[in-house]
Amino acid sequence: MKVLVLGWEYPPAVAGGLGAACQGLTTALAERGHGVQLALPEACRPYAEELQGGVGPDPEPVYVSSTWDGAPSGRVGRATQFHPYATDESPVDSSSVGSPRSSLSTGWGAAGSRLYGADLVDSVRAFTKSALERLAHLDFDVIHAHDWMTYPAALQLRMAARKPAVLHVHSTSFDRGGSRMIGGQLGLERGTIASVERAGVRTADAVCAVSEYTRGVLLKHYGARSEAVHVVHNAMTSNGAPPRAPQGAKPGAPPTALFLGRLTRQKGVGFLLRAARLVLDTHPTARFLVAGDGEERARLIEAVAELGLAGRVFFLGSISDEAKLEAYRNADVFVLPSVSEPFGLTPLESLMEGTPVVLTSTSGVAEVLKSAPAVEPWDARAMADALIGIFDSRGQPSGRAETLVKRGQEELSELSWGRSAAALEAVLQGSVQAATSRATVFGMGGAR
Amino acid sequence: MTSLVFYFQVHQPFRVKAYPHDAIGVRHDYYDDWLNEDVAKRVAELCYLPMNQTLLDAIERTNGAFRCSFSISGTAIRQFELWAPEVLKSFRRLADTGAVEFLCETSRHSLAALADPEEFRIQVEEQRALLKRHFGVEPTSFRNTELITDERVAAQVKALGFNVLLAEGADQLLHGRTSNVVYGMEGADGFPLMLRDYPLSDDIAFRFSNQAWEQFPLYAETFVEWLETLPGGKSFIGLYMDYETFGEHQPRSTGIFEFMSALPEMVLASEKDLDFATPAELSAREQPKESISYPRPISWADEERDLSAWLGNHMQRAAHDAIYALADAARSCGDPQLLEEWRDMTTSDHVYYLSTKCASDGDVHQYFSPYDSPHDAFLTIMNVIEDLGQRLGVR
Repeated sequence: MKVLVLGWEYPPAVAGGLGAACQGLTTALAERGHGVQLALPEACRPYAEELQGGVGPDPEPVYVSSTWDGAPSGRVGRATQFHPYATDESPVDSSSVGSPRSSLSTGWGAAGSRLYGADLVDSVRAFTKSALERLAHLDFDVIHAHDWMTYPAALQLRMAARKPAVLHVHSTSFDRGGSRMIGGQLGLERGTIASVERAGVRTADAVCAVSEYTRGVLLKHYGARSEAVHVVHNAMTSNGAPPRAPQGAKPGAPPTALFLGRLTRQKGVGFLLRAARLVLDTHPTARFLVAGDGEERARLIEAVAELGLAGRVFFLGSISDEAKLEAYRNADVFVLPSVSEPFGLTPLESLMEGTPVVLTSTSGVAEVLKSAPAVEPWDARAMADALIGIFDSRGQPSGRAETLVKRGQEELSELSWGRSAAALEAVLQGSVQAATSRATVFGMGGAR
Repeated sequence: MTSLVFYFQVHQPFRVKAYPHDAIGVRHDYYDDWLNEDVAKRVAELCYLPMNQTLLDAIERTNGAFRCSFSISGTAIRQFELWAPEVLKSFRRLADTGAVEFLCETSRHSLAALADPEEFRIQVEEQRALLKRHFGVEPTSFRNTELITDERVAAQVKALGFNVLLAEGADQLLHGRTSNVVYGMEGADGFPLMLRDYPLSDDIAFRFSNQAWEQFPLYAETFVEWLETLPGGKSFIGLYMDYETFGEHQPRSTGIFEFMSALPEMVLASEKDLDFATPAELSAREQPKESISYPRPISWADEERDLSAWLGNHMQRAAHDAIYALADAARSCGDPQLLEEWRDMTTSDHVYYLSTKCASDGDVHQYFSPYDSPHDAFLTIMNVIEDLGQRLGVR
């Protein structure tokens, strides 16, 4: 099978989890013997070229222009000042995009500012237009497109090349808004992206969702056809090292909980703070570390002061990969309090480092880490109790904390990109076969 | 006789440098020596040295008829000692004229009067010792940090043996009465209060270089005319302001030095009964005429003239509480260096930077702040407090 992969992020040009997942699936498909042609926006190129002599993107990509040289979209103003993965309350200030301040305040890093700049809508239009020009004539059997930025290109290539398109949904507007309302109701910008997603999942030959949770969102809120949506769970890119054994509590060290991620409402850190308040009633020395940055930062800091959590909750800001590993290892528990999380990679990373996790039931990762406590995000009492249970057993041989790590690591070992790629392969093949039989019936495509 | 009572506030805080979470327990160098040295030297150059010379000249030209007062925070004195000793020398020359009074305050420009009476007493004694050592004076007049005043503050000041307290002449206090007589504070045995005439003070301190002001540009002649046309019955005009007004907030190019240089002789040449006095002289001459009551603490900061500049939001109150929660441990730790480091955290500027007020007052807060935002300031301060707490064995 020859697969044309449309991506928007790809290591080393990474802003969020999308790049890692795109790489994991794409390389695993190639390892399974499929021909893979990767197409990325031009904005990714400088990052790959920075790795001189190192490892660039694994399959040599085609870079597709993402610079719009035609007439402006006409949606200047609000639409162009919108960050695709931000909430509606703090649009990216177009004047500061690309500056270090803006990447700090959005929590996306330098690549994020480039890939999701103020001109994103025009970038997507340009990508779509030039993808059609550059890619339609290539030899491929199926299109595999990652997240909404690439859906318009996928759907147009599908028409032009008469090849099936499989869309991979890593995240939806529904998650980012954390609301049942979809479409125009959340404002023009959100509506625009949601309608691209909606048109995509309804039109595509097949859809891959990163979890049952996301599949549910697509069926319930996007009107996707049940038979067209398949679950392909994410995995974790392994560096080859075995998972670390759970470590005992450091004598005298206060019990410590860690969150790591973008500070958006989707991530539910506010709910963690309410649980922290309850934990401190019985464990007054406990510490809560919040690593990451984002538009909710100021509000969360104020909430810490208001809830009387000053001196108990600390903000680490955006931290390096090394500091991230340190943080996982030093914490007694990792919490992902997301309100709506399509998958959630951080709990897997935490378990790899020997630290147990507390999840919310509204996350995809809870489907694969079945042993981990999963609470409703707004149930502060339940979240607090889950944290306390782990705090109280830290360092105990065969205690709850240790057991959770052991079981979690077993579940982790079941996950691999190879396994995910096998599931993906079945979906891709299914849509190729369906398209071929349609072509036979209607006399389209084939040898023309 | 109506006396002009000038009081200039000189203050520099020991600003804190970037202190991220991973510094806790690893390093304890909280204070930004580079920045603090830089600011001290720059303001010395722009303001302290030239303005001291301007005042010294005025005193000499008028044979001591021009008189004024200073309060120099202990943290500022220490910074001059470290980085600008010529400023201390120049203040000593002013002290030697006998025309200049030095007021007392807390050595750390702190909110201790509100938070911790024991700490307040210690910091006042510290400041007394500093003033004695550097200027050979024993202060008898007091001004609390940012003129923050209420009955409790006045009672503490009285108990520490001072004769008069300088305070803000806020409208909410005066209800239409004049700020130009000595008041006695109710609830503190009528302790004498000398209030600030904020309209005339702010004409110099804030409006002087404001080109949109209808009185711009303000000449000394005009200012003296205003004084001459004031209604009678005024014993003094309290002109209290930040000393950094001269040459720093109002740059030299605005003509502020020329204004202050011309003013003394014009006042003294006036046909009206105008002169200059220090707070000690004035309070010895005038007894409290009327009493005044303080429903709540009043300061000279922001529109509100209350504590909201320092304790207005949750971050400020949380940081303030966390600083003073370490007071007992710090005072009993037996490590003078550690105690010093904690004590410099009591400087009110640290919580002032956490203000989230909008509009014009917020700009003033941000003008003085070394941080990107109040939230960054809060995180930094709380990290420092966490490290101090660990060193003091407080969890």
